[in-house]
Amino acid sequence: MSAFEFGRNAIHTLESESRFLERRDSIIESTQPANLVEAILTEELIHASWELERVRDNSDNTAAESQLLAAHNRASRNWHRSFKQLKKLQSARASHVAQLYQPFERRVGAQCPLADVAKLPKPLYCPTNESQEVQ
Amino acid sequence: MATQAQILANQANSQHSTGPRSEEGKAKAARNSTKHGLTLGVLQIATEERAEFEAFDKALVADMNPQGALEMDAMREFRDAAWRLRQIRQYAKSIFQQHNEDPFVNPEAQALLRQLSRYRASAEMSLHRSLNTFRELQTTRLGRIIHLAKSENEAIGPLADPKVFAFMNIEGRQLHRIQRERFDAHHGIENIS
Repeated sequence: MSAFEFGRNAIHTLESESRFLERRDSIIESTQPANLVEAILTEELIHASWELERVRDNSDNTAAESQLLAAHNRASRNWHRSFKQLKKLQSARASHVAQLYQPFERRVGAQCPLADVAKLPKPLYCPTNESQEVQ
Repeated sequence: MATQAQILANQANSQHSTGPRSEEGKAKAARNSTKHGLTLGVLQIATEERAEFEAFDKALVADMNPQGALEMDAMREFRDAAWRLRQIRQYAKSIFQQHNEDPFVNPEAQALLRQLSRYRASAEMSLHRSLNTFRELQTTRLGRIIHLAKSENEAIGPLADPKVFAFMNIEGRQLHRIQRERFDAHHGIENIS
């Protein structure tokens, strides 16, 4: 995911830039996106997290109270939504590794990379494990 | 002051100036007052960003592997929402740069950002909703590849939940796909519909 430019267009001043970059890198380290879809959600998480930080930085600005509240609610909602989505995606990716053992299963799994194998009825009966019987 | 004849001539001429007639011309006129392009129903991609957008699209197709019109629709909605969020951030950043202070502090910038927040909420919702739908479609497709016997292909619609057909009760026994395919081969069944 090195080609993806994380944190592009984030709003920060010269003084807050290093804080932003530190936060961005820490989030990337925590999510370790493995593909573009995960990268897009990580990007959402980075911007939501930084917006929450900016709201905190401006919390003594009483003139912008309603604006800050709206921004806080929106960023918080997006943070949680992106986090949940990312968790579901990474769990689904793990389910491919953990539950598709046979070459045939791996092959069909690769055709549906975002499918959640954990949601499919078990056991999975594929041509190479046909000797198994339903208990 | 215009004479009566001039007024009449102007009125007659104005009947010929009724705006663009071709679809292309109408589309162009609709973009006349575009400032950020976010209010339009369709995604607007600047000429200088076209190549980057195409590379983004190609990379998403490679990662998501959409098959069929429904997965393609969901993938495109996801792609457009992600790109739109990027455009919104670009615009918000340009507001920040114009005023040279955090938009939370500047009342003029605040008003502009308030307008943006509606578009942002809509794009965020679209991003998550389309991804959920896409994943559901792929899970169903994978379930079909794994659990559906060849003879059942026509009888069971492509959007049916794999839980419904993974194990079928045949002659009093719960049979999985391989067993059903053996049963079909034994009885010469090619299509159960």
